[in-house]
Amino acid sequence: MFAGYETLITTIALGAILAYSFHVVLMAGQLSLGQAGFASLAAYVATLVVPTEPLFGSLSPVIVGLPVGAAVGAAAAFLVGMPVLRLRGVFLAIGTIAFGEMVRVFMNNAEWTNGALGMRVEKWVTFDFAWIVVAVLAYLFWRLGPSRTGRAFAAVREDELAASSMGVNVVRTRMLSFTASGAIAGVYGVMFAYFYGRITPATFDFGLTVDGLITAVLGGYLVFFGPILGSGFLTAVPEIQDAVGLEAGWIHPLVTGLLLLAVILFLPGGLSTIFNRLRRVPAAPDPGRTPPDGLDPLPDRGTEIARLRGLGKAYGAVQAVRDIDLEIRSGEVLGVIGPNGAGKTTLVNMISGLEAPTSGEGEVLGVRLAATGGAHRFAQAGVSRTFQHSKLFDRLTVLDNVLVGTHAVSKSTYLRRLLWLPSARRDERRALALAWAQLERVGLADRANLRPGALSYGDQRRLEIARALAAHPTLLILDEPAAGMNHVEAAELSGLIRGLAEDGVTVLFIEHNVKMVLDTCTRLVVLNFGEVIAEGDPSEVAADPAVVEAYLGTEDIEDGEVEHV
Amino acid sequence: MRLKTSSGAALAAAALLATAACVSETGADTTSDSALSGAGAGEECTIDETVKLGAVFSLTEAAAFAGEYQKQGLELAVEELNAAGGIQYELILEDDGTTLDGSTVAFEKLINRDEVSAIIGPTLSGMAFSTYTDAQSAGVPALGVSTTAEGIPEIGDYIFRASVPEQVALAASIPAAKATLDMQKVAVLHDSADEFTASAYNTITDELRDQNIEIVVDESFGTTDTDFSAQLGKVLEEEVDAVILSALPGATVPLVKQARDLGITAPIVGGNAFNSPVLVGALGDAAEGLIVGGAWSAASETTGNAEFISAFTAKYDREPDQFAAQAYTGAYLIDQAIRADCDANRESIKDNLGQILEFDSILGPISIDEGGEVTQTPVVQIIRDGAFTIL
Amino acid sequence: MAQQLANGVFAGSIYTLFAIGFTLVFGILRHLNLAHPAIFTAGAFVGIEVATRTEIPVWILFPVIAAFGALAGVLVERIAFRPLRGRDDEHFAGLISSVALGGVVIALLQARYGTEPQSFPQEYFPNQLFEFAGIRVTLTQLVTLGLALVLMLGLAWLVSATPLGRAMRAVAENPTAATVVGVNVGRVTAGTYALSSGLGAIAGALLALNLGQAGRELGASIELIGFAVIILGGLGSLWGAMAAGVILGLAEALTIHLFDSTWKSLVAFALLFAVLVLRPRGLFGHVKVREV
Repeated sequence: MFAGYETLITTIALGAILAYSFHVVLMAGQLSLGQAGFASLAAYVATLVVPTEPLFGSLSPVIVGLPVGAAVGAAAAFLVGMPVLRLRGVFLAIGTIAFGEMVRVFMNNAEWTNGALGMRVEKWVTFDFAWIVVAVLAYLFWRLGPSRTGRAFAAVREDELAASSMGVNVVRTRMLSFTASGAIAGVYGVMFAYFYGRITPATFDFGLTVDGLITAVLGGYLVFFGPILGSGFLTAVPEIQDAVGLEAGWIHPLVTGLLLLAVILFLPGGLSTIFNRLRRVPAAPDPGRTPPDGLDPLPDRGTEIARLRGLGKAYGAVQAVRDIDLEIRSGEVLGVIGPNGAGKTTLVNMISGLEAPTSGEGEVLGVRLAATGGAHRFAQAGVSRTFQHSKLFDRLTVLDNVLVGTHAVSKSTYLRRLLWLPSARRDERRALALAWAQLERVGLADRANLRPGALSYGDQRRLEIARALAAHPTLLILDEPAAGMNHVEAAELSGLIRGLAEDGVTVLFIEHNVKMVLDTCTRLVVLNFGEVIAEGDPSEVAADPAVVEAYLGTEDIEDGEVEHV
Repeated sequence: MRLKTSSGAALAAAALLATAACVSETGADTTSDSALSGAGAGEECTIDETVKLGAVFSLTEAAAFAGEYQKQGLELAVEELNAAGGIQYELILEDDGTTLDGSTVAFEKLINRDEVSAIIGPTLSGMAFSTYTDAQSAGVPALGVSTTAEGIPEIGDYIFRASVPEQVALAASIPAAKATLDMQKVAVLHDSADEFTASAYNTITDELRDQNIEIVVDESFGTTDTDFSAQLGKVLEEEVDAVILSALPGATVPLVKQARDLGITAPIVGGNAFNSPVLVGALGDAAEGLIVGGAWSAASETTGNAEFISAFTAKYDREPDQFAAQAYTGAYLIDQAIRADCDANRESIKDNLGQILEFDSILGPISIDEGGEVTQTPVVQIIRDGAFTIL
Repeated sequence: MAQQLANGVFAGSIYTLFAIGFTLVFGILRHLNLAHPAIFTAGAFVGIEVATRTEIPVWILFPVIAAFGALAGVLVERIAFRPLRGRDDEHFAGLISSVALGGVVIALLQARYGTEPQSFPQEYFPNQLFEFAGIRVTLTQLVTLGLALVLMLGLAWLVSATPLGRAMRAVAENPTAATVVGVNVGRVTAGTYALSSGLGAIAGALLALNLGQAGRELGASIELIGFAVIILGGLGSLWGAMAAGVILGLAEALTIHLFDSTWKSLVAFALLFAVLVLRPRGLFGHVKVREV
C-alpha cells in the first residue's frame, strides 16, 4: 500500500512517539524538556537486553526492549522529578535541559557505550511495528482525555491552586505526567535505536528536544492525535517541497520555518484547531432523570465540622491573623466581614488548606490544619471554595470546569476506560449528571459549552460556585461571591446560599456587601487587624459598637453597599 | 502511579498486537532492465536510456560545509560525463539536513521511488552506518566519497568507498611529520563528541604507538566548543615537538588560531578535515606550517587535476576542496564501472565497482577491491606561504 | 594556573554578553526568545560582511552591528511575539515561533553567505600578544573584555537612570499597572528587544573575532551555555548574569586544569542543575532587573 514510502511514513510514527512524550507534559502544563536524556538512557540500556535473534522465529526482539525502555525512562523521570518538579515554567525547562545534556556527556564518556563512536544494532523496527506503538499511544491518550485523570491534567495546566482546591493532588498529577513522559521518551529511544540501527550520544541532543517540542506544540493539545498531525506535517513539508521542485538547500529550512511560524501565529492550539470541531458536544441529560446517587450524606445539622484554637498566621514580621478561636457547625451560614486587610482571606486560606498556620491549631472535617500535604486533602474531606479573584480554567468549557469540581467525589475512571468497563461509563455519566445539576442550580445550563471568558462577570462568579458545589461539599467557602454583582444578582445569590443551607451545606462566606451578609447568614464574625472583634447573631453583631468603630470613617454599616474592591 | 501501571499494561497489549509485526527479510531486487544495458564497451559504450544516479549529501545544517562542495564536485563531473556522450546521466540530489532520519528517508526515495542505478554519499559516516544497511538489503550499489570511518565497506558487498579511510591518511601524515619534524613528544587534542574525530583519535594513538612517539598531553573538547585556551594551556606547560589535532573544520580554525595566539609554536598535524582552502583563508599567517594528510591536493600533478581545478573555479567562483574532488572522482568511478560491461543495472555496477584497478583519477591512481575498500596513496601536505605544498 | 584563570574570565565575558540578551528580555517581558542565538550569529556574519566591504575601523563597525541587531530584535518581537500577546498559550507558542523565526534567519544566512564559515579580513584586526606577569593575553581578548564591561555598565546605567530604563522596570514589575500610569508598553517592549539583540549581535561579532571565523552554528553552540548563565545569575538579573558568565568560564577552565577535559561540558550543566535544585532563584537572584 505504501510501497516506496515505508521509511518515510515510519519516520512520521517515530516523530509522533517523541511528540507524545511532550504532549503528556504539555497537557498538564509542564514545560519539561528532559526527554532526550530519558530516551538516551532507555536506548542504551535496551541495547544491553534486547536479544540479537528474532523471538520464537519471527517476533521482533524489540518487544523486549520496549517495556525495559519505558521502565528506564519512567524511573529516570521519577528520580529527576523529585528535585526538579518544584520548579515551574522556564526554570523547569532549563533544569530538565541540563539533565538531558548531562546524560549526553555521560554517555559520551562512558566505556560501555563506545563513546562518540556509538553503537550499531540490527534494524528490528518495521513499518507496522512502529505504527502499532503509535496506535497504542493514541489509544491511551484518546481514553485519557475525557477521564477524571485527564481532567485533572487540564486543571493543573490551567490553574494549580484552583485544581488543588478541587481535590486534585497537584504534586502527584505533575509527577504522573512527568513519569509518563519519561516512559514514552524511553519507548522512543528504543524505537529510534532499532529503527535506524544506530545510536550515538549526539543523537539525543538539545536539537532532538526542540524537534519534539515543536512537533507537539504544532500538532496541538486539543485532540489526542495532535502529535501525529504535527509529525505528519513536519515530515510532509520537505517532501512536498521536493515534489514541487524546490531545490534542496537553504530554501527548504526557510519554507519549513515560515510555515511553522504561520501555523503557530494563526492557529492557536496548533493543527488540532482544525479538528477541534469534531469533538462531541455533550448533550444535557434528560430532564426527568434521578439525581446522582452514591453521594455521602451531609453531617447532621449542628455537628461540629471545624474547630480553630488560637490560630495565627504571620508573614515574616506581619501578623495577618492572630489568636482566632472559632467553631463551625453543620448547616449554618457563617458570614465573615471586616475591613480590607483584616485577614479574612488568610483565614479561609488556612481553613481550606492553601496556607499553613504559623501558630495555634485547628481541624476541619478531620484534617489537621498544621499538616503539610496540600489543599487537595481538605477538598477530599469535603471543603470546597471559590476565590476572591475568579480562578476558572480558561481553556476548558463551562461544563468541563464544573466537571473538574466532581474530582473529589468521583473515582478514577482511566484504567477502566481503557478496558471499556461499563462501570467507568457509569461513573463518568454520574459525574456529568452531578455537573449539570450544579449548572442548572446556578442558572448556567444554557451556556455549558462556552468558555469562561465569554461569560459576564457575574456569571463567572456563579460558575465558580457551581464548580465548588460539584464537589458535593460539606463546607462551602465563598470568598466575596457578590463582588461585581448588581443588587438583583446579589439577591439571587443570597437566595441560592440560603437554599444550600436548607439542603444541609454549611456555608462560610466573606463579603463586603454587608446588607447581603446580614440578609443571608445565620451567624456573623467580624475581623479587624487579624483578630475576631465580634461574633454571634448577625443583627446583634452589627449593632456592636466595636464593629461600628471598625467600619467608622469608611462606610455607614446600615447602608449596605460597601466598597467592592 | 496510575498511568505508569496502565502504560505497562498497554505495552503488554502492544506486545501481543505486535506479533503481527514480524521481522521480514526483504530480498535484494535483482531484476534488471535491459534498456539500461547498451552496446559497445569502455569508451565506446552507448546506453539509450538515461542512467539515474542518486546522491545524498548534507546540504543544510552542521555538515553543509562539506555537502555543498560535494554537490558542486559531483554536478561538475556529471556535466562532463554527459558532454562526453555515450551515456546520459540524470543526477538526483537529496539533502539529508545532517540528520539520520533525513538520510534514511532520502535513501528510501532514491532506492524505491526514483529507482536509481547507484547512490553516491552520504556525507557523514554516522549516517552511512544506517543508510548503507538499507542500500545493502535493497541491492543498490552505494559509493561513499567522504565516509572515512572504520567498518563502512564491511557493511556489505554493495557498499564501496572512494574516500581513503582516516587511518590511512593519518598513517601517512604522522610518519611524514615524524621524518620532517623529528617528533619525539607530541600533544594530542581531539573532539571527543564527534564520531569521525573520535574514530580518528583512536587511529592517531595507535599510529603514534607504532612510531614510538610519546603522548605528553592528551586533551579533548566538544564539537561546538568555542574556547580552547584551557586545553592549550596544558600544551603550553609541556615541551612538545608537535600538536596532533583531530577536529572538524568548525573547531580547527579557532583552535589553531588560539594556539598561535597563546604562543604555541609547535607544528600542528591534522587529518582529512584539515584539507580545505577555507582553512588557509580564515587562518592567514596562523596556518603556516600546518601538516595535513589527505586524499587530494590542489598541488598534485595527477591526471586532470589542473583542468578540474580550473573548471570548478570557473563554474562556482571558488576553489575546490578535497570533498569536491572526491565527489567528482566518485562519479567517474561509477561511470567506469558502468562502461566496463556497458550495463547500468545495479548488479553490474556492483560487480564492476569492486574491480576498479589503478583508475587514473585526479586523486591519483585509485583502486577499489571486492570488499569495497579503496586503495590510494594519500598525500601529505604542508602549508607554506599560504598555499598547500606537497611534503 | 593564573593563565587558566585569565582564560576563564575572557571566555566568561562572551558568555555574559550573549546571555544578557536572554535575561533582559525574560526579566522584563517574561519571553524566552529562542531566536536570540540566530540574531547573535547574524550579527557575526553581517559584521564580517561590512568589515570586508567597507573596511571601516572597528570602533565604527561595532555601532553598525549594534544597529543591525537592534533592528533585527524589533522585528523578532513584531513577528514572533507581538501577534501572540494575550493568547492562552502565549508562552509555549512564543518558544516555538521564536525557534521557527530563528530557523528562517539561519536559512537566510545560508542563502546569502553559503555554507562556508566566514571570517574577518586578515589584518583587519591587529593580532597582538601582551604578557603581564606571565599571563599571555591577546588584543582581541582585551577588547572583548573591555567592550563587555563598557556595554554592561552602559546597560546598567540605562536601566537605572534613564526614562526608558524606568519604564522598563515598571513593565517588569507589572505591565498592566505600567500602562495605567502612562508607560507606552509597546515602545518599552521594542526598546528591550532592540537592546538585547543589539548586545547579542555585538557578542556574535566579538566571538567571531575571537574564533577567527563564524559558521551558521555559532549561536547554537553557545545557546545552552547562555541558559546556564541566566539561571546561575538569576533570571532577569544583570549583575547576576555578569558574575555567572565569569564563574562559568572559570569553572570550565578549572575543570580542565584540575581534572580532565572530557568532563568539561558536564560542569556547566551540573552546576546549573545543582543551583536550580538548591537555589532556584539563582546565585544572585535577589538582584532583579527592576532593582538595578
